[in-house]
Amino acid sequence: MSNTALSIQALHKSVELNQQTIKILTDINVHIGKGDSVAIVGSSGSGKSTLLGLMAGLDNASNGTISLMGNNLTEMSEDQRAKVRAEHVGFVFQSFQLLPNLSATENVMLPLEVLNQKNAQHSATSMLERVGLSHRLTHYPSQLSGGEQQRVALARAFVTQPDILFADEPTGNLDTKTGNHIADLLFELNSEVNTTLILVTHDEHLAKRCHHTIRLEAGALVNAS
Amino acid sequence: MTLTTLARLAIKLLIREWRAGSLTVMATALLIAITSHTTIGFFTERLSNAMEAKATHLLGADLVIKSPSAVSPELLDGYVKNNTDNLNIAHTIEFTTIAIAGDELKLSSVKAVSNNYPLKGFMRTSRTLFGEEFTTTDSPAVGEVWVEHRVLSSLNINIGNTIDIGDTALTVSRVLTFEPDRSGAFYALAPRIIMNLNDLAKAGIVQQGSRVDYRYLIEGSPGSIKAYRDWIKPQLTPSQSVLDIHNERPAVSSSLVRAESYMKLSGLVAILLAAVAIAMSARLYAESHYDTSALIRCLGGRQNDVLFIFVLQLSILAFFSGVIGSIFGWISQSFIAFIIQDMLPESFPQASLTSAWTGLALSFIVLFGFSLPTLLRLRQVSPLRVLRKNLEPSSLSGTIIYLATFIFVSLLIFVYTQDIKLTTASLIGGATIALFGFIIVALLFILLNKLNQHFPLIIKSGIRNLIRRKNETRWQTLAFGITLMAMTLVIIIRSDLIDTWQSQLPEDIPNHFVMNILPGDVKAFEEFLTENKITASNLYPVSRGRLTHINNIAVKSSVTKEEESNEALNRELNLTEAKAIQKDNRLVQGEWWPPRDISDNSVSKQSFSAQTKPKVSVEARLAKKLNIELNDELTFFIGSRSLKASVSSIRTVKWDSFKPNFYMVFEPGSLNSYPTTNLTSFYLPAQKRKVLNSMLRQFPAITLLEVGAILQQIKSILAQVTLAVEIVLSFVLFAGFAVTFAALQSTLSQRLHEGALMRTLGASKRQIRINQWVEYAMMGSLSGLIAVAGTEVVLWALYTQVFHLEYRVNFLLMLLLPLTGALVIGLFGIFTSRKVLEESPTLVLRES
Repeated sequence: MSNTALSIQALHKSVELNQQTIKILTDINVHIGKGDSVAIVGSSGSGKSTLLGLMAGLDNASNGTISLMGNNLTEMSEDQRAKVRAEHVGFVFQSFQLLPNLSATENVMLPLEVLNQKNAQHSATSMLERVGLSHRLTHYPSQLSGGEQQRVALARAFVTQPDILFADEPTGNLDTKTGNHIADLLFELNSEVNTTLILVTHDEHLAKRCHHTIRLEAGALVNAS
Repeated sequence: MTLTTLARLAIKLLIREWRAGSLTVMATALLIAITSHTTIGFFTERLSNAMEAKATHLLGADLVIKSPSAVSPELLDGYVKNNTDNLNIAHTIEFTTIAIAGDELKLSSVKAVSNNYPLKGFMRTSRTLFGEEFTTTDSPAVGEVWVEHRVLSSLNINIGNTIDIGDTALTVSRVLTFEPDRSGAFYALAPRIIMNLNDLAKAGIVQQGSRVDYRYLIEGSPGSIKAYRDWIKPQLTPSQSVLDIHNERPAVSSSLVRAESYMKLSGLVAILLAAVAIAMSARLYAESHYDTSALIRCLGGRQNDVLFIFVLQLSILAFFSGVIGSIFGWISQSFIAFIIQDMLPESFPQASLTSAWTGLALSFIVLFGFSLPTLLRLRQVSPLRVLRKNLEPSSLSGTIIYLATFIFVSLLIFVYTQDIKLTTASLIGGATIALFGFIIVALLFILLNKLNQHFPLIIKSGIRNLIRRKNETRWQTLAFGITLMAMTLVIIIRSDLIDTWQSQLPEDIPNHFVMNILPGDVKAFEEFLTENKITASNLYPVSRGRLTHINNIAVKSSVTKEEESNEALNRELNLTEAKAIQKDNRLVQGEWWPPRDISDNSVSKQSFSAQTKPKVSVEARLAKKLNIELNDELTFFIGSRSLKASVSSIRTVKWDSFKPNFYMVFEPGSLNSYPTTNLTSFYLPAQKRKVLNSMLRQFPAITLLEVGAILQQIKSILAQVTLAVEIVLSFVLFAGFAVTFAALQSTLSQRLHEGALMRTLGASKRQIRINQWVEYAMMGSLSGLIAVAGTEVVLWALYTQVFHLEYRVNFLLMLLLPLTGALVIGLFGIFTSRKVLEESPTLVLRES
């Protein structure tokens, strides 16, 4: 059984804008082992989020191959990639991305329901208790603070025990103290579930807590450690 | 995801969204549309049934077969025997004969009726001359007759005396004042006697070859009547005809047709108004779900999973709106019926569930039809949107969307009106208005932008807001314009329809006709009227004559077989002469003769030779049927002499005006050498009816006809039609206002966000309120301008093409609509945007 969670070879991404081709990512090659944690860093516009989107199968590459848990995403249709995401991937976003019309529990249940898992409510409640929100189970996102919303998002991301977790600036919308708490929780859960963590961040402290760092500049990989 | 999971998720999201109020706009618009549709549907069905029922009372049946000879029993009963349909058939036989009492004779129009006559409606009779009238559904017993008062006075007899009809003597038991199915040309007929059909054989009058009018009155359910009509019509000979309410009573029929057209159009207006709001709120709904769609996709949902969730949500919404709207519709129509119960007929039939079913279907059709293009975009949302908020889903090609909407609207209008002409007219009109409307809006916005620098500072900012948001506000302006136009149209048409009906039957419309006023009695008769304060119409000199030849060819051989039965050819016509054309007649060809001084001897005693034939004006429908053209030579037989006249004009006549009307009007002097009597009409209130006794005593030669009962019937039908029209109008207005409200709500979140930002940046509440007023009022007045243009175009098309009424440009609208638009949109806008000033900016900015 392969030990690679994610493998990227000769990845290119460009878009057509006003009849001009703009290169966003150029010749990216990355291998990430299972259980690793990797921070993708770089300045704004360097292509971090684009790379994250491609890695998670949310977008199509222009060239190259991306293999996620043995699935070649570049050869799959959108619906096939969705299936891979449902089975292997969890997400945490800077803007939390909770459905405003669902309660905390219902938001956490959502990925379990996508996977048709039984006892979704029970698992969701346990996960929320684990992130310290047992008193907020029936609250809606608008009734929660930013930190609490991100904790719900973490619960939602880990509830399916994903193989890979993608986090896009998970502390970007939070103050330092709350951000630190969230980061602690993220790494705690990561080690508990033994998930491969790939996070995009501007925060050097957060990046340092990862096993590896990928640095991007103008769409090219300048340093990987 | 399994279907159960998806359904659970869809319902959960829907319930929560409902609680959060995010579906209110769409659901309200839909609910209003369905409630309006079903209220109008239920109520008009009931009213239409009641009106039809009342109208059939004027016919005495649902359907009448008219024939110059007896129809074979096989033909008449064949259908009934072979089908289970329950039809009742009554027989009447009408003929003209001499009634005799002692030495007195009177030419009378006798109607022999079967025992079950009338099948629908009633007769009115009294037990004494001009005594108290009462309604009855009985018919004369064997050995008895009911007669008009004219028979009594002419024969110098009373109730209880006998009269001879042919070989049989019958007792006069009642005075007849009203019979339901008396045909239109009432004043041309001899006085009526109604006898029992069983007495007819004894009378021995009706022989083979006698000129007799056989009528078979048929009653049954609408379905069986239609089936019977379809079955018997092809089997009738050209001289036999089928009569129903639509061809027998033009005054009632044309009002019903117009009312139906109005209701259909109003119903359509309500639905299309709702559709505008639904399309707007569906767009908002779709846009607010891009993130949800992206997240579900990101978590592993497929494209079709996303689509399923939203389709199911809208289906649930459509279902509940359809059901609840239908229930509301039922309740509101019952409520209306309860409030106005005194004005409704005693038996006001219940409506069927048809409107509920159509309401439910319409709910789905309108919701999906107008939200599908935006709904399909939800399927296209990229999951990458979770990372990049600005990623919009690709939209369908504009051409496809517009083409699909066009086809859908066409089908909707056709299904709703069942009228291809109306559908085509609405589509062409609608498309033209939308296209020109959009061009005008775009131009107005450009103009506004150019002019804004010259406006006072206080309103500049509001107008800038309007222009800055032009992507939304241009569409809103167009939508408000069309809404305002639709509401204006419905109000104007309603007023004009009701005015037309009221002018058709004013309060003092003549309810009595007097004929056979001898030339020597004219002066005394006029004095009698003056003494009794009765205002009469003009006196028309009348000669009775028959049209025999057109251009020296016998009429019967010059017309088609079908026209041989035309009543204008088969009986004597009232021929008159007149200086000027009657007020409500209209020349369609030729010219009226120039006015001449009637006191001039040379004219009044003018005699016409073969070279100088008198001129005649012919009624248009008769001219068309008999192929009479200008300058044709017509030959009439008056008594034993002939009169040749040249056709100088053709004119239309309002037969439903209840005024003396004539097929043939000659130029003054034409009838000088022929025997004439005079004809007039007047209005007499019920409490003055006793005057008629002395009138008949003083002028025994005159023939007096009362038409008050028929008029009363028609008036009460028109009152109901008017009421129906007003109820329909109120619902359209309600829908229009609600739709305006809904449309304004659709940009509320954007306005809330901007308002919060403005307040954060230091704008005062007063400043924001002024900006809002300026923006909304300006949008309203621009909408008013669009509405003016659209209203005039549509009114012109409707009046000339659908209602066949005269059209006049309405200049007042040009001022009124922009002002109304500014006021209404201003008030509604301020009301819907009140949250902008009420909500805390922090909360708004945080939530957005």
